[in-house]
Amino acid sequence: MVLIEILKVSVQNIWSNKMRSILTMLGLIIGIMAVVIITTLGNAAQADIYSAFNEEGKGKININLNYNTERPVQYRDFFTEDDVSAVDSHEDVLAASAEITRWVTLNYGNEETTINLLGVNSNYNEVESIEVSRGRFLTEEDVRGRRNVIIIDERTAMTLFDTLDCIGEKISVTTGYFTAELMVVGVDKLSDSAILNMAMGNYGYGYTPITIASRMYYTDRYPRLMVHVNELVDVDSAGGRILTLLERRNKDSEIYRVSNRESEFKQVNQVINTLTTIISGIAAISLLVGGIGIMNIMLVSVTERTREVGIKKAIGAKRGVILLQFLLEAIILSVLGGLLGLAIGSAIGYGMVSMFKLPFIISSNSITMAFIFSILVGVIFGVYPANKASKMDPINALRYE
Amino acid sequence: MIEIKNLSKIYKTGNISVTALKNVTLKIEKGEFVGIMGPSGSGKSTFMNIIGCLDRPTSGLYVLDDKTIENMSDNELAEVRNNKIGFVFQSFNLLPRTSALKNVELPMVYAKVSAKERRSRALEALDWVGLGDRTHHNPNELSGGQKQRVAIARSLVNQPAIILADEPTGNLDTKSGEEVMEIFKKLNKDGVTIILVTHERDIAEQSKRIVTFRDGEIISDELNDREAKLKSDPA
Repeated sequence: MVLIEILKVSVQNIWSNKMRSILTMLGLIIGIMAVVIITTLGNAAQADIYSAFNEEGKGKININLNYNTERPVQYRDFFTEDDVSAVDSHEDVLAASAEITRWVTLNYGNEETTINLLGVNSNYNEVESIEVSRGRFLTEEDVRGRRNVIIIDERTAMTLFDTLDCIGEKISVTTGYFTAELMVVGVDKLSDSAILNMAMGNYGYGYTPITIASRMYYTDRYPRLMVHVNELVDVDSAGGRILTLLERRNKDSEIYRVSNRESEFKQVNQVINTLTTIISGIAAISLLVGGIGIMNIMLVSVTERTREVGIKKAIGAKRGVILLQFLLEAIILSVLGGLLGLAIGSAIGYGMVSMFKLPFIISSNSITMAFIFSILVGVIFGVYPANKASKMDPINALRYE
Repeated sequence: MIEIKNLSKIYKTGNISVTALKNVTLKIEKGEFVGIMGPSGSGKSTFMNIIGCLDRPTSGLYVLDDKTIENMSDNELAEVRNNKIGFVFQSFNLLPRTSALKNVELPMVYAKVSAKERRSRALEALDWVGLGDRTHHNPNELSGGQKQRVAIARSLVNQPAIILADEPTGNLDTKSGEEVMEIFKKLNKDGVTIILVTHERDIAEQSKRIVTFRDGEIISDELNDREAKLKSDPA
């Protein structure tokens, strides 16, 4: 009951000093806003990567040569066409393809661009989730018949042809010491994940039959296996079994590094998480500044209202009442600032996230955190001025002019 | 009602100590109307602060309504000020930007009176001091006399044992001052104990008993038979 009266007076005091109250809250508004924007971006990035993983990363294993072992990598460690088909027919494996990549230059008319060209098997689209928006992916015949065909991504298509309808066009592909003329048979759709697209930078990519790639790159062995395991199989144990299979084929399993996409995604998420936390932490320093601003104004307010404190004490207000009065004002200011910061931060976060075409997630977590933090700031920085007011001597306070 | 024995107050500032009150002994009964007089620096304000439980004596005894005030905590003193004492100050000391009604309600807020009862009692008190039509005015919309009447309404709303008035007419014109004094007399007639501090003789003479302070001591304490005086005065 007394609390309600105190609350009313607090609100009234804040309201009658609108400009000052807003300026006081500004520090906190900016602080909470910064934290909310950063966590919104962090959450968006994580959600984007998570959905990208669910779409493209589940059950995927890469087997790479490990150049960091004591024994140097030798020619026999590279994968042969037979290794690929052996892994492909392993019971845990849905599809396996070799992969060999080079940076190549594409020329069409006067247009020129550099892409990462992947030589792959025809089942590569079962290994990786590849969706062509025009034409088709590679076929068994393309690979076996060593057909001069290429699938390029939408970005590269736009660069070279200014259109996605470029099926049948012939482009010249140069590795630096080898030039071939390849016909476009398909256009690969860009990933839905803004983060993945961003990670690719401005570089395009393309696919060509592994048989064509071996000819262009002067090699018949491949440094990497891309494997898509059966849905019901655990990726880690499947990786182990594939290594055993390779060992039986006289390979030294020590020389390979098996990585599954899941742990890679987890690592990326971890990095984003850490970054978000660190930047939020730095932004949270502004909460401290905001708190000091509130304390400063509360101290001014206590001095200004010395006489009021004296009157209230003379007519019977106990220390607690006075303390609560000023403390509540500090808390209301900080909570109001926090909520405003949350609202503005969410709005800006939403704007930025939609600009990058990322999902907008406002977690109840960040709302509660913003709320708790602002109450804490109000309490921590409000206690000192409130205590000062409550300890005033009524006679001196009444005499204060 | 009020019993004061050998009360002293010494202010210490560094090595210098100033004696504001020296062995003051005084008894005030319920229903009295006491005027306290004295020049500035005579100790009457210090005396007032101690009686009002705003300050503590250095030594001596103060009993208010059978309760010894010594050894009380700050919060207990606040409680005494709230239920036993009503203050009326020279400078009114109303809360700014707060309606007359809310000002009068305030002591009852601290006494934990329900909102409904607060309102009706505050309205009644304002009505009683003749401000029934000014309840929603803020202090800056009221004249000096009206402000002081709001302050009186505030002082009596918790039915205190004593009302302490410190130069209540000091900031008022003669007419408003007279109105305020009439209210005090009316209150006293209803049985409220009133202690009025003033340095104006004609104000003090409207009380029934005049206690005069000088240099921290009581130099005179006499009943004031104004009626008799008025009769003997041919004017």
